[in-house]
Amino acid sequence: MNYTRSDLVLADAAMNQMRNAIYHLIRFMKRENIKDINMRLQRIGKNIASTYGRYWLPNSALTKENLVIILKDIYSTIFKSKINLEVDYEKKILKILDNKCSLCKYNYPDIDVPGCEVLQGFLPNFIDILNKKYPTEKIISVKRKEVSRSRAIGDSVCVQEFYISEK
Amino acid sequence: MGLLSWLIKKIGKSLGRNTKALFYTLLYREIFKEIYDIKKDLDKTVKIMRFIGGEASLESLKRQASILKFLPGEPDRVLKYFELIWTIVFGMELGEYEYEEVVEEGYPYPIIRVKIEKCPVCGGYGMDPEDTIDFNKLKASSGGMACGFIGMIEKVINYLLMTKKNDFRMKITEEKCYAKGDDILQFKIDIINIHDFKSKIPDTEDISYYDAEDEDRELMLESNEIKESILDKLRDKLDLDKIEELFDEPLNSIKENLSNLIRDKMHMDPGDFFDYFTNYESDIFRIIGYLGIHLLNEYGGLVEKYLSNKIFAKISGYIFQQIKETYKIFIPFDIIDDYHQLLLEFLRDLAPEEMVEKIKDFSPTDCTDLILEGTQMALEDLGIDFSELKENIWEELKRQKPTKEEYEIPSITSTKEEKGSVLIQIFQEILLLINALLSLPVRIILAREHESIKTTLKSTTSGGEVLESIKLHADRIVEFLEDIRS
Repeated sequence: MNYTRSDLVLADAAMNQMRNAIYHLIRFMKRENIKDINMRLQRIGKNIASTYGRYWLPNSALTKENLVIILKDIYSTIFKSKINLEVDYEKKILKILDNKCSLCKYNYPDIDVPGCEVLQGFLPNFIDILNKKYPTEKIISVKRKEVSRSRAIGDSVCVQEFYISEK
Repeated sequence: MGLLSWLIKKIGKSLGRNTKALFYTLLYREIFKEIYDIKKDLDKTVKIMRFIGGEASLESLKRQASILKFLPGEPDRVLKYFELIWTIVFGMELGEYEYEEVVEEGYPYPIIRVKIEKCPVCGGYGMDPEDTIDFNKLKASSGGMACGFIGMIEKVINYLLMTKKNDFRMKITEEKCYAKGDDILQFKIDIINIHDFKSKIPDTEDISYYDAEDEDRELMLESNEIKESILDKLRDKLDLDKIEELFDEPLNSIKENLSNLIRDKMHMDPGDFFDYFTNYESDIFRIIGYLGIHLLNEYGGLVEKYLSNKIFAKISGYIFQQIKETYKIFIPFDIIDDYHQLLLEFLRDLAPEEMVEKIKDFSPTDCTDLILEGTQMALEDLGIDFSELKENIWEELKRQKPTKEEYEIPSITSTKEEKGSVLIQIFQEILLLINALLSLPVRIILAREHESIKTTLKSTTSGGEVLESIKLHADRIVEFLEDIRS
């Protein structure tokens, strides 16, 4: 009897080789003269979120009150990452600082697109699915902005930036 | 799985960067989909995914090569650690699996099939709308969805064989795949010579930037460039396989090593070798003692150098004589008997049955006496002239008795010598008395130590509670460390 996805959502796996594989995929894309690598990585994240959201979600929609708790829960549960958050409600910008990003660890001089671009696609879609599952007033939605810093391109930390809006 | 394999698995898992397995699986699926989106050809996608897996693995291997150096370097022995390699690569348990060997005439190694019940890569594939690739459209010879994962494992094994300078490599193909509708994940492993390996690498014409031959050439070059440290050399001799044998069955391991030594150096079967000594069993014990000292001397000839000094040679001779005479007083019979039993256990399977039975009839102290006889012969070779030695060291210390003429001319000097001789005799008797008094407590201490070691070993091998306890506590430490890290 093979694993089901419900089994896999409970188990942990070592990410080291898959993390490396993302950068080999990027190299492959570059050699194939693919121009929209960022978009493709985001698409990967978006599709992962669509499937993942069917097997595990936090237990309430994202609101201003629980934003920190829910995002930390998502990162610690799925990516095993301890993150720090900076939220600027005036500028409507959310910054997620990850010192041990699961998709970036080493600096690759030949790479200019960080692997954690995947998360730019993952998080907005995942939050969308979450908010749809627990409809409530004043939910926060998240949209991709940019990966402003990444260990893969020589920074000491990965910083994911998103636009946030309250509905 | 032995304690060390288990420990390496734990270390490997805890050093790895974990995420939820579902995230891993979905990322794998999405990478595959992106390659397919670019190549628009499923069979080519499988090849590229396989190479990407291999490259990803190679990158980690180059960084963490030391953990693999404890694994053995022969293909058949490497496969014994398939489960461990799987866990290190994937960070998940292999689970239930079957292992099948097909021996083909003319090939040095059999073809191996591994049937795995749980495939983490395609677990649950086909249940969600994002699972858009239909793996049934793959050619039968192209493998399946686990291609990238196979690339990873194959590269780990071949990298290991390369670092161990082995001439064989493994070619792994995916014969059955859940995503293709099979009811199991099945790998076929061909163990082939490095020269044939190149010709069996999948056609890479379509893989624009991964050239398999170049990649393999790179592995070959690295093999020559590897600089071995002393630790590496030690690890070559003491790989995981051997260490675990020593832990699990120390006697069997020594037996095997001795058998190999007899085969290599004497070009004889161990049974034939021991057969030469049938009816000359006592000589075996003498040889053990004799060779023991000569082997000790092999380390820089230290014994010989030490004994080249006449005074040291005499002192050593007297100490040896003392041991020979007093070991029965100091060492309890039970201990000597235990070692006799151990020797019988050792010789069983190695020596002819008739010989083992005869040795069984020897008393344990007879055996020890014979070993000491052999030791004495070796010590004679290396510089101790036992014929020159007096009955004991005290006799040596006594001055030579005066001649008749000297007796007739009494002098102050001879009187002093006589007194000195008497004093030495008194001193000797006092020491012998102390020896006798000490023999009982020494026997008690030796017996107690011997018993405690025996009890510990028995409880470790029979109940396994100690082993389980070690695993339990180490498991908890790893869990705590993971908690701290997350």
